[in-house]
Amino acid sequence: MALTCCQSVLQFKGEVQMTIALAGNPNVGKSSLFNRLTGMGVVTANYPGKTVDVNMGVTHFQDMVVGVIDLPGTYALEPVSEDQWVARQALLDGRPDAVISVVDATNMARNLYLTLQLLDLGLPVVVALNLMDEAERLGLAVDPVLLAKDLGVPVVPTVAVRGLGLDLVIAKAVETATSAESAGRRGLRYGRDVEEQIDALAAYLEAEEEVTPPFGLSPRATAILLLESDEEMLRWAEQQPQGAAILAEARSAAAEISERHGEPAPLRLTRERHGLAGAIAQAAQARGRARRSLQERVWHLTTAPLTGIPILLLMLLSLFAILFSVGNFLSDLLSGLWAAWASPPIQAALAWILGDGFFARSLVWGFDAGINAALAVGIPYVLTFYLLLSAFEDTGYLNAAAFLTDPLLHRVGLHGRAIIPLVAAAGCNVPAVMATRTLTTMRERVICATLICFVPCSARTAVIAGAVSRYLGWGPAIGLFVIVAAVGTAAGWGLNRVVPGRRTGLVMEMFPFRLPSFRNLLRRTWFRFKEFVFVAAPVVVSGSLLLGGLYESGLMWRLAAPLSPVTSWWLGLPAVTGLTLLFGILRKELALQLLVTLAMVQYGRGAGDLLHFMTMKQLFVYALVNALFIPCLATIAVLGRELAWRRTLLIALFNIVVALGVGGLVSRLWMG
Amino acid sequence: MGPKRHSQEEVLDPSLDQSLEALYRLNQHGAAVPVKALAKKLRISRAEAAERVVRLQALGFVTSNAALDLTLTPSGAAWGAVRIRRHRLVERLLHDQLGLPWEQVHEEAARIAPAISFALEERLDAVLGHPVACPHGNPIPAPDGSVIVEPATPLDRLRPGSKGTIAAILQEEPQLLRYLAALGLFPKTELEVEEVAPLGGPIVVKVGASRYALGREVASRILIRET
Repeated sequence: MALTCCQSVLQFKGEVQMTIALAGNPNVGKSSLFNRLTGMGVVTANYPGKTVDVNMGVTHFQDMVVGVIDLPGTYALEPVSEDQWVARQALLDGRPDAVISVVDATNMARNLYLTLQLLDLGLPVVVALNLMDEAERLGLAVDPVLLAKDLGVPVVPTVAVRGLGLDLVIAKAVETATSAESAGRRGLRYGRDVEEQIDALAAYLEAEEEVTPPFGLSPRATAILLLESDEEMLRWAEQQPQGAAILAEARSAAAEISERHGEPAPLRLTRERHGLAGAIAQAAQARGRARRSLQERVWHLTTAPLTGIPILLLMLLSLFAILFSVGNFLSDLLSGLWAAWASPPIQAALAWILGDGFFARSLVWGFDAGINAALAVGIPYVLTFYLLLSAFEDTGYLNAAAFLTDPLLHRVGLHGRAIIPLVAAAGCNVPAVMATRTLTTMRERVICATLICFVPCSARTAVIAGAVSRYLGWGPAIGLFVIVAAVGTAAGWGLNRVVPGRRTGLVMEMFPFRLPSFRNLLRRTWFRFKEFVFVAAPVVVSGSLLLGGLYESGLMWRLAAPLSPVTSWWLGLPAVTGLTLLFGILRKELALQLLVTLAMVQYGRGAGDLLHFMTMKQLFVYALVNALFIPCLATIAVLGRELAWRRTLLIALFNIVVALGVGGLVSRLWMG
Repeated sequence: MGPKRHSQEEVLDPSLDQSLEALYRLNQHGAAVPVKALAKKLRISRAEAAERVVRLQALGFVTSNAALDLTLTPSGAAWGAVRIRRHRLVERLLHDQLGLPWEQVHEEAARIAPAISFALEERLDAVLGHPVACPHGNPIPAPDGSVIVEPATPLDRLRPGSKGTIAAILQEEPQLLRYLAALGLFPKTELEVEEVAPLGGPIVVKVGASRYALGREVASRILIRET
């Protein structure tokens, strides 16, 4: 992405007449709201080095074009975690004309904390009181009118998954954005002595002629942030000419608060904000306590170890089985269709235009084999997996799975959330790498992506089945998987010690189960899939062109010569296998197909039975190296997209080194 | 206790000083401390930790069992308590008087506290008005080393179904503290343990209408007063 997030937000602002930001806790239906409001043209932007995205789309209100910025779901707006930092920065950079604070009607007390923080920043806020249907089912009677009165901002009850109340929310947001006096909050106060300190500090900031708060913040907002010892605000103050005086003023105000309450000012403010949120929530809620729902009981079944672990195994197994069987079926079907209907005309057309030269044959590699390769991975595995992943996420099961697997994954520096990508990798590494986006730190994503590349995908499993279990039997095939698993675990253990960055402790909200909206599932799947098509497909096609050019020009054979010490001497394999391993980069199962083809070219028809020119040991080493070795082109393409090219290069190098190391070792230790 | 520790002040090597403070922190919930844990806490090799332990044993500050698990002797505990007392007094000074943010004071205090003398400690205590808790809510031991603590258990030792209030959050890691506070997890909050995952897995707590899964290392830093 050429533009930083800040630039793209500003550019986006220039293209629309008004911008509205959506803010809310995770899993309160914020993305449903966003999806319902906006059309297909969604732009994703991210800040450099951050893993959390900001989505931007356009909606229409009367004859106005309104830009909608979907902030990451967060519990607060403090720069203490990546998602919170991004949400807050996008708000400060973007200065939206209004903010829709999406609040979960079943858990108002916690949700209103963020709303109050938005109000503290002096932003014009409209509350979308979402999940009203669920609140009703739970027996919670929420009074939006009372809530609006207490908060001093418009409150609109909504059911975002069904699109109820959305027109009104937008209307209110536009109204709030255009009316001058509604900016900031009216009448909401914290404890009196805290307010006194805030007011005094704000008055001080206002009186200083040359002080202009950053990001167009009000003096009050600046004062609150300073009292919370917000790092960014402290840095800002330091840079002011009269910074020392401002900081001294803030310190004495903070000391006043902490002395009065026996706890530090930031904690006091957090406590007061929670207290206020709780009081407002309680007043607006006629019945205090929610009934224990069916969802809650199902939830307990999935997390209690006795029932949860079998359920988890069943879920992972079915995830794997669906991905594997549906994926393979679709992959074969599409490849077959391609070979029957698309491939001949493409080849004919290229031959007709360019004749049968080097150029034409190279293009066949790119546009026939390349597109076929992208197709064989993309639709069958990526699309299928994304649908499954979205369902896991939207129902809330992902968190239950994460809860149960956390202790195991902890040992390799990951959290429970990494279980889904790791299992999915056994189907196809490509969607698995894309799914690492559910992990929150770059460290976790790098470790997880590296381990994913060690998980044999269905294509590599096919090679293992075709080469090892067919000629050597099941025992060695299982042995091979055991070696791969051991290598992966060892790699994770080592990476955990080497990869820089802080290990974060697990703090994760556990959501009650929710029935996902099918429309949302499809839309989310489509957006993710689209990224695969636009990012990975061009890399696969151009990579295929390159491979084709190398092959057709005969340069490939010259490459084989420098490879031979590695293949022949270190791995003890026939020289021709080195080339097929290289071609395996295009698609892993091609390695075996090519091996058979090349063997027949070189040794005659009888070589179709691989044992005619390779020993059992050689077959085993070959399949093992192919399984561990550099991931396929499509995986490399998404790695580059998700983690940047430098990390991708390192991962690929690491893979090659480990694959050759383990392969050579097995070759040397093999008995008989 | 006062005069005795005054004389020891001159002779104790800084590395032993640091080790005693670490042992005191590790030992404060009762269980004996493996040498490995001490080495990890101080980020030194196990051999070096063992060597320091031998020297501390010679001074009569530490006893160990057959498995080399360490327990502080009364004089060792008193000495450790003094280290903590100075550390937390300095934290108060940094926070209350100099206005350093509460999440920064721990590291600053770790640098300053070893240089505090007995006389300075007394003066600090008087000027600060004999505070009983550090800015993070942890108790400051009395001059004789005694600590007035209400019984509190780390969250990771509780069983499903137990309820309580958060007494304090140990280990002053700035970002985590802020993150937990925003979720509503701060001292005096009521919570209930709902589920404990097997094999050292996370713990699910219910706070208000929300449920959070907390990893063991996070949970071990949250002290709960059971109700």
